[in-house]
Amino acid sequence: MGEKMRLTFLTFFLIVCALLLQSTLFSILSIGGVKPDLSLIVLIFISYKRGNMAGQFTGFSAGLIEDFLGLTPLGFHSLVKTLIGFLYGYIKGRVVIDIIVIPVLFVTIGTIIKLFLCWIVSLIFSIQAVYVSFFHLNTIIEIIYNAVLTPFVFSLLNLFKSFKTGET
Amino acid sequence: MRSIKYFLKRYVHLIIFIVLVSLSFILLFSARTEVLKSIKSSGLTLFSSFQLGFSGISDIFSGISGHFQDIKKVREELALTQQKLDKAYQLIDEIEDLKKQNIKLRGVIGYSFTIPSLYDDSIRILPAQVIAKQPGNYSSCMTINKGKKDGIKINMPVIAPYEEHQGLVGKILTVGGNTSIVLPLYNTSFYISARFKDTEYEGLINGLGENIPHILMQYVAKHAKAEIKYGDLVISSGMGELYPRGIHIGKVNAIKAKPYETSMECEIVPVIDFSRLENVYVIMKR
Repeated sequence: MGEKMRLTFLTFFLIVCALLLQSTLFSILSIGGVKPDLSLIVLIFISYKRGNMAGQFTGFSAGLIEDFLGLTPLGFHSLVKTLIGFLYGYIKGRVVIDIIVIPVLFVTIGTIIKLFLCWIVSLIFSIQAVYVSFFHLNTIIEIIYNAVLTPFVFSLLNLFKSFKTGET
Repeated sequence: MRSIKYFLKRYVHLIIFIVLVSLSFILLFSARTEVLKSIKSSGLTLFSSFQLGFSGISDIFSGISGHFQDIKKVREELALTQQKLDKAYQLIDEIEDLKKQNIKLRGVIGYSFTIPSLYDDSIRILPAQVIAKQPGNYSSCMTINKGKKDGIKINMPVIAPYEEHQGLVGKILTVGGNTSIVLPLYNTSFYISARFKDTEYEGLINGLGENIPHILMQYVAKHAKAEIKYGDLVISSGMGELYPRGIHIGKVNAIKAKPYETSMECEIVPVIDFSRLENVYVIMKR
């Protein structure tokens, strides 16, 4: 199996694991009913490391799986996460990241973008099952929860040699 | 020809991006078609089978966190239990007999059983476990470990026991092979015709989202205000034949009657504690 193929499988495996953990383990470890968006953190990491081509494919598949496992119609999260993956892919090679500050900043901005895109898409398609509120305590909790987990997730993902080399 | 190749090579990521975004839009536009519903069902079957495995890990954590939450409660209960201990000893023999009888009867009737208060031969209750919840935060649903193979169909009501009654949890929204997605009653797209148990006044219940601790009962006759009290029980009305009549939904928390409106609204707190919900029952018709 080629290096590129191995990296693709690894990416898919990580995204699936993140989503499954989000829906099972982190449902219990939620703070005030708010779960962290592990798949978003993984997506931002992958987009940064592998560029916008891998970023958008990862975003699309992550979103599609999230739609399969939830109430949202197919296409809802895949659209939102494709946009995020594509956007963050442009960062590759342009920004040098440290262990804590830059990743936390990336994910915080990413969470806000996700919130905004979810709101826009749910408005355009009148998706009743989706409830997005900007001025809610849960939004702040999600941003903080994601930010706190980011250094750990980034450090964990950095352990994979394939990502260290920055393959595309 | 060379320029086209150059263009494609240079802008391939943009072309792919447009394709993926367009695909997402097509999926969203045709979300209600039968083809996409069956695709979603197949996807659920595939990925929720992994969820079943992961739920085992979460059960361990759930058990640990549950124990911490229970410590305070257990201490209080211990004091009460000690007082009743003498009395309890007298009942032990009787309970042991009942336990044996219970195990024997469960073995006879299989995994499914009928809840005594739903005295309708056409109704069967299928026990299920909540194995996962919606991955994201902007919508709310839960996944149970029973699906098409167990006879579950879309729109089947889901209940859970509380005290000595059954409380409404929601209804089945998507069915996979071994798992199903439940739309909980606090979801914004959930509606149910309900009535007050004592006064019989009717209304329509709608969820307000996971973040809001109550649900809303709308279109209640305004003249009912004098008769409705805080804490009054609201049950399913049985209209529409989707939900059997008499399933407990919640209790009145607040009454809102605006002078310029012809009907009033009531805030209802669900009887089911969704944060600790593990075991549910799907109401199936024979």
